[in-house]
Amino acid sequence: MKRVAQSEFDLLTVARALVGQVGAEAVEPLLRQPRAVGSKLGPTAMGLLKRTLAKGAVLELCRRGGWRLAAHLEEMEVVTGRLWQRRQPPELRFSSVTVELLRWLAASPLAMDAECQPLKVKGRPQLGDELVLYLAFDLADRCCCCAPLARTPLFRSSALVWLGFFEPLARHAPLWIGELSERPAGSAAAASRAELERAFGQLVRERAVLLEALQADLARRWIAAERRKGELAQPAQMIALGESQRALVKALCAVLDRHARRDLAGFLLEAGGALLRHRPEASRWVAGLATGALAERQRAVRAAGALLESLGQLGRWAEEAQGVRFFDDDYEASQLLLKQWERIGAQGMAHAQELMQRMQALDAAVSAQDAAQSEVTP
Amino acid sequence: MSRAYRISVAETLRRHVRVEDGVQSSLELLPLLPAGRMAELLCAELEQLGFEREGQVVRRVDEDGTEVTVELETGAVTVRLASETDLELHRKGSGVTGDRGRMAEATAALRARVRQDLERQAAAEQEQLREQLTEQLERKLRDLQLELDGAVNRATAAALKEKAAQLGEIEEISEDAESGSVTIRVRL
Repeated sequence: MKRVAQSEFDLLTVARALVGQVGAEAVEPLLRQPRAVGSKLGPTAMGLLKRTLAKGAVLELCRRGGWRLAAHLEEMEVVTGRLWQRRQPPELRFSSVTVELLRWLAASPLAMDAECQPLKVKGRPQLGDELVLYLAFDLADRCCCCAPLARTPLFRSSALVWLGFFEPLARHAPLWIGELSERPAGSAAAASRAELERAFGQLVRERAVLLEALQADLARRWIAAERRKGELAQPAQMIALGESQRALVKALCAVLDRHARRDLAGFLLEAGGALLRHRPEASRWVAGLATGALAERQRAVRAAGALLESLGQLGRWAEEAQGVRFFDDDYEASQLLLKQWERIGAQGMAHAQELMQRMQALDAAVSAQDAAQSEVTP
Repeated sequence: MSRAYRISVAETLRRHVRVEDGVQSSLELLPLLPAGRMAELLCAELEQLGFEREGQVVRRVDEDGTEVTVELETGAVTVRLASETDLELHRKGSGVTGDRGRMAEATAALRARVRQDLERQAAAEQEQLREQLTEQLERKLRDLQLELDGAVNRATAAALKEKAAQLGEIEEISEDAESGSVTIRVRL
């Protein structure tokens, strides 16, 4: 039996929870309470951490969607199979970022936002670190203590974390266009949309394996976030959420288009398809909005339709794909897109447009209030 | 023996407050004819509803003060309602101090507290005014949406007739006022 110090054991337990080897409930007290964690890891603990991450991260990536038989593009060719069948196994590199993050998670009282020390890391996150950031946010979210993570620049600068957890991140502050850039904070004036796209570019170019594996997980999160919109009462919250979504989708689509990886937007189609399947009313998105000035509520109602709006872009891609003939080079890729598009289809798109029209009408905010009142009145 | 000194202050806050609320949307006109012509047809319909043209914008101010503006080129609609009033709030405050030498200081502190209360009351009254304004606008919007939709439908029907006349000889036009449908038979 290998022996480690108590603080090392705590850190290893958090690492095991990240990769699904122990349940979130087992580490919840660890995450919520402050703990003393040493500044160094001993060789035994480091060895165990390496082993946990090496085995666990790959398994977790598969559990979250890598196991699914899916079709994706590889050099403009359609490859089908499970994640490990479609491409060479990726080399998941973990740097000191992961170790520092684990130490911070184990030491900080995440339930007491004000008492958490800021997380300081050196160097840029590697492929494995990016996955750990995603898993760490998920774990904290499940333990209802993700607020300190939502304000930490390391998480806020990860394109993958934004895609998965835009809701708690936007609750803290909407997506500032420069957050995903490499520039230090405070250079807001110099930040631009191009920088946001650069962060997504890296995700799509060098870390596409994560996006491929997490498609189902991302779709699930987007569906849940859309369904929770109906509970939002404050227009400002909805505006922050919708505007963050809009910025994310815009940047993602631009990058996917540039790198010929439109197939990676499949999670948006999966989410859209599930949401539109039963032809919901617009009030499902805005039933909670009942207070505030009309001008603000109207902005909020429009922001609520951010995902529906983004389907328009994906619909245009589907139209382009329909025009590709069977002897064209990108015929297979186009057919893959059309197959993905079937989740929405013409009827789903028509319904999405109808919803958008209602959300943009002059009396949209008043209708939202009526919906809220009808929910209260039995 | 110490004595208690009673201090009283009275403050008045006079403020002119203006609250405003409004919404924006856009009218969707089918591009049946060139944009300029579609704008003219829409303008004609809106003028029937009491709008007045000012260049590329038509505007109407209703009796209750609601201002509706439509930009003819883009179809952007702005509905705005503003209200202003003069607030005059009075408040008295009193307190006790045991130190006569610090009376001035205690009075200043009490006055500051009373002023803060007045500021809070003014903010609450302003918010109440804004809520009344919003309610008034809400009642208005539904009818206005129907009114503008009607104008757009009539402008579209007029454009259809013009387009049909350009295509050939119109033989028959039948309109259903209830459903808003228009059927035009054209001999080409």
